[in-house]
Amino acid sequence: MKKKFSLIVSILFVSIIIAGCLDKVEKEPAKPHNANGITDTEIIIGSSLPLTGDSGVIGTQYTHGSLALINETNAQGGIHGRKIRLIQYDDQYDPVKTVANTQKLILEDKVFILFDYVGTPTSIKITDMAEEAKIPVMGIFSGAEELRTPFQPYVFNVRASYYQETDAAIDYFVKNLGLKRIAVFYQDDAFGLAGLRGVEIALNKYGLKPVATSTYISGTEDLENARRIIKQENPDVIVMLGTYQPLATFIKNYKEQGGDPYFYSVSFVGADAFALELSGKGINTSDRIIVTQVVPDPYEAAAIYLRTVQNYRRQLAKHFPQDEPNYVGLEGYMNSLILTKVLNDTGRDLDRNSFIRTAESLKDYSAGIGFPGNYGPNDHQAFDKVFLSHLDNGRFLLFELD
Amino acid sequence: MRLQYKLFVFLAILILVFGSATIVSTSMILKKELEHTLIVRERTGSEVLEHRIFPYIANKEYDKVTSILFEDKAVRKESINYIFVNDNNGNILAHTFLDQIPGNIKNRVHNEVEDFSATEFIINDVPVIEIVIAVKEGAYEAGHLHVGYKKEYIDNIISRNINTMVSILVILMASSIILSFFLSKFIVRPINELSRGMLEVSKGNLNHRIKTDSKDELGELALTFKKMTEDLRKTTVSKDYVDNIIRSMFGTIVVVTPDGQIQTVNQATCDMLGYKAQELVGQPVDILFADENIKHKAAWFDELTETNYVSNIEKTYLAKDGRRIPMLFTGSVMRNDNGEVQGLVCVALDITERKRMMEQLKQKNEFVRTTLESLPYPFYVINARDYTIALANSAAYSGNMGKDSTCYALTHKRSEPCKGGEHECPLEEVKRTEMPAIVEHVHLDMKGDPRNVEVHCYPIFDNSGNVVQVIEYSLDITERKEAEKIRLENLRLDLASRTKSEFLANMSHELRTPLNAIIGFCELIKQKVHGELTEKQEHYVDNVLASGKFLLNLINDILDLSKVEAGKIELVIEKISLPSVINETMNLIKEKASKHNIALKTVFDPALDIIEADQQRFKQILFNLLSNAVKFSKEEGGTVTITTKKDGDMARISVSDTGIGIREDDLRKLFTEFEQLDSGISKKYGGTGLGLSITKKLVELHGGKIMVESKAGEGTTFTFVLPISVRK
Repeated sequence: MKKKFSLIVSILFVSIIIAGCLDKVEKEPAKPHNANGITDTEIIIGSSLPLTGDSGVIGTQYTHGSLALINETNAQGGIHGRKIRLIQYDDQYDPVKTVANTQKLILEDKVFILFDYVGTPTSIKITDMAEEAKIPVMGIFSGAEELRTPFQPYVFNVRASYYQETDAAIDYFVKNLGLKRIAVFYQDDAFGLAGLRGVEIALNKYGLKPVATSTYISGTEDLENARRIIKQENPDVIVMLGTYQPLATFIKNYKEQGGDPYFYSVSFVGADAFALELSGKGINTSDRIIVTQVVPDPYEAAAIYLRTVQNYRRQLAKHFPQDEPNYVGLEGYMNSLILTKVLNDTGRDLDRNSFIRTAESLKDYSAGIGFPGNYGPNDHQAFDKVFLSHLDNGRFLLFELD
Repeated sequence: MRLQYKLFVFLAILILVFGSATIVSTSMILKKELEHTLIVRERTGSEVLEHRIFPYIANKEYDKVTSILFEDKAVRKESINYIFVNDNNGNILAHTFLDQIPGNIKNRVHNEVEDFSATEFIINDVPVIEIVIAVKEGAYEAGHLHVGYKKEYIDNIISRNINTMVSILVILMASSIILSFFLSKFIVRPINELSRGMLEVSKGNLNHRIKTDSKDELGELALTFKKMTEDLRKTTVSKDYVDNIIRSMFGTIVVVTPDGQIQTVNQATCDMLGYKAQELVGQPVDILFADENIKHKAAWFDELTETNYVSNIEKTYLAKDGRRIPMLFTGSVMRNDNGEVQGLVCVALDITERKRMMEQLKQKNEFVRTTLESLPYPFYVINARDYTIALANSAAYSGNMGKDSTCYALTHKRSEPCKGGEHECPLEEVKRTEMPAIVEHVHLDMKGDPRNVEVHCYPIFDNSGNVVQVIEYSLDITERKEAEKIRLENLRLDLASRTKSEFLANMSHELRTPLNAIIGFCELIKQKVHGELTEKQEHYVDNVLASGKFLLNLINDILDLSKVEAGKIELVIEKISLPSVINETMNLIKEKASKHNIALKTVFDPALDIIEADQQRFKQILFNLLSNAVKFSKEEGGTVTITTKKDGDMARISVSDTGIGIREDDLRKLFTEFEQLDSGISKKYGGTGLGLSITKKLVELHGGKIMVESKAGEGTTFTFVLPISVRK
């Protein structure tokens, strides 16, 4: 009897002590959301992108494409009674400036969302800021994987990724043309490395590896060393990851020193600026200079059957009469198309939460370019389509695979 | 309340009080320590940041600073709420605020030049701990770096750590309390045990044992107590113990006083002799003994006191009813501490049964002895170790040898052990295999003549299973063996001969029939009756014919031989003219001889003309010898001479050649069936190997003999003699 009693006492004692030391789980209270950047008459959105410098042409084309539709929308009365105001700061493709610009946009301009960013090294600097401030970033002129994986809850990509581009190109070279000796020439930064990784992944599918890789420093014209390294291997295809001026110079030098491989670049190069640059160096037509595109071509022929290309050309002519329709601009135009679509769908009662919710419910959106756009709670890339284009009489035209 | 529970409660309270005190004090110390550690850690991180931004602050590149601040914040976003840098006037140069710049950080001037401080603030409604580090290089101070740490984050880390520690301490306390419960039980148990044991002993129960398994002071106490009880028990029971021993002994014990009176007897003594104990005690010891000459006690008593001890001597006790009981007696003197004789202890065992058994054993031995002696064949037991004879009957043992004679002397008349020879020694075999063996062997009999014996051997094992002795007896099988050998040989020869002859006779017939067809048809083909042959075809047909003819000859020879052997040939004896028959035979071989460049010569004894013989067979004999002579000629040719000579009533006919001759070794094999002298010759000269054998048989059938002389390389002479007239 006494034994039993003592056992019960000790068990009770232990259980009381253990119960006492279980920690109370505290939950972080949700912060109230500020509907910044929204007034009765305006939706203010902000952009940091290169408007001058090496990549100035691309930034300008890009933002003109976006503005063509925004201006048109505003001219027709805006969205649910609000006009869209785009505040732009020039970052000259310098990540430092991108950060400072973005802080200014968020803190001082109190923009509703960040919009139309250009470049990989620049935009990857601001994803953390966007997340902290809980501000969506929509439409980035970059297919970098860092903006997609791991999943970024505040980044809304519009275009296909570089991996998708390089994958389509490598498929074309290896499967369609039977070319296996592929070299990579890349700009020594986050963009170049992301592209190199994409090529390696795509080649790996076929059990291949790049036969040579070489880099150049962004902003220099010293390409000779890189050219020599690649020339030693005499590859069938040279994948080039960089901006249009060095790439055009590289092609010209390479051809002058003998050799006629395929040259390939992802869409980032800006197909029109690239073609212009090549023309300046006397290269007008070559089916061996290939650029992958994430939008259809912006020229007359496509405009006949693609509603959005037609709209883009008309609105660009109206708002930026001095501009020629171009790929980069069309990509920018697509950003505005998605933006206005989501704003329209959200309605007058607009804040960032409702904007994100509406965006994530975008399903089979017929964008008028021949393929649909989709977002989802875990999918923040609207389009997946990749096209191949080659240099044809001073511009890049899409070509169909057999 | 029992001691155990008192102890437990005391320990539990002790643990609770000290434990709680420890928890409270360590929590407080830990909180302070952790806070300090964390701040120091964060300060290090911030100092690195200060180093990074300093050059840009100095160059007034505030965008770059902003970029670095954001970068740093992204890396440490768990812990950092904000970072900003202001100049010495309180103007903000760069910062990471995204919502709004809080009012309470503007225009914050650090009047005193501080290198480092950590202060708590509320910034944008969030509690932070702000670390301030001077941005400076030497004496040049550009401003201050302010890093706002989320207080919540630091508090979380601290409370997580403290919680872990408290949990561990509480668990430790709980287990200590549980342990103390068992500990108190453990300590108190031996005390309980001891007190129970003491109670038992005090009641007089000396057989009670207390359990002691601890080695501490209590254990020692228990052990001492246990030993005490045990000693007490030992001394208390010793008399009973001795009595018990004596009572329970099987042998008889009698204790005698120095003056020869029985003092004590045990029950065994009483039972055996039929007395009651009180009938013996006090009586003179003599009453026990049947032996007259020790009736007087002094005779052995004095002797015993001198030697102190007699053992295993035989004495006879006398029972009350007069039975005499043989005893094996041991006596010893019992003295006190001063060496004075106190008495005699007599211990004796009844050996009636033993005596009877020994008598029986003796009889059994005698029986065995007689049985062995009655055996007609040698029988002996050999010691395996040294081959000496342990036992032998007179058939084995002539009686004039010593008992230590050995088996090799006895059966082989040798002076030392056999060293193995044609047969393994059966003794060795049995030793090796440890199994009985029956071996045929040669032993010398008593006269020294060798005898074939069948030796039967059986091992005898000792207790550990080794062969120590071997029983051997040998049966003389010399006669039996010889008879057996002859019978077997006859049987074998008969059977072999009959079987062979019958087989050959039958087989030859079976073979000849198809062979005739082969030869016949080949000849037809060769005659080209049915069309021309190519050269090759003709050559092949020739080959077939030659082989077929050879085979036919062979079979004919075999048939002949088998007929002769089976006794189926009957000679047709007539009178023949030897020279004319010889000439006729020579004609048959002439052509072949001239082909081999051999001259045939005859030397006839004019006294010999007509003899009685089977003409056909005679020709066969002669032809065989002639064809051999031609066949085994030298390559350059030679001469074959036939000589006749009258030799009493016998005719001697010789065929001599100048051929290759026969080696002496081979001459013996010459007349054996199927023997050609060596395979080389056989290949070169062909032939069935049956010819001479048949010749010999035919000669013998005529009652004659055939002989051969030869010298290798010079020539051979075959001579056969036939009776001139056959005896009927």
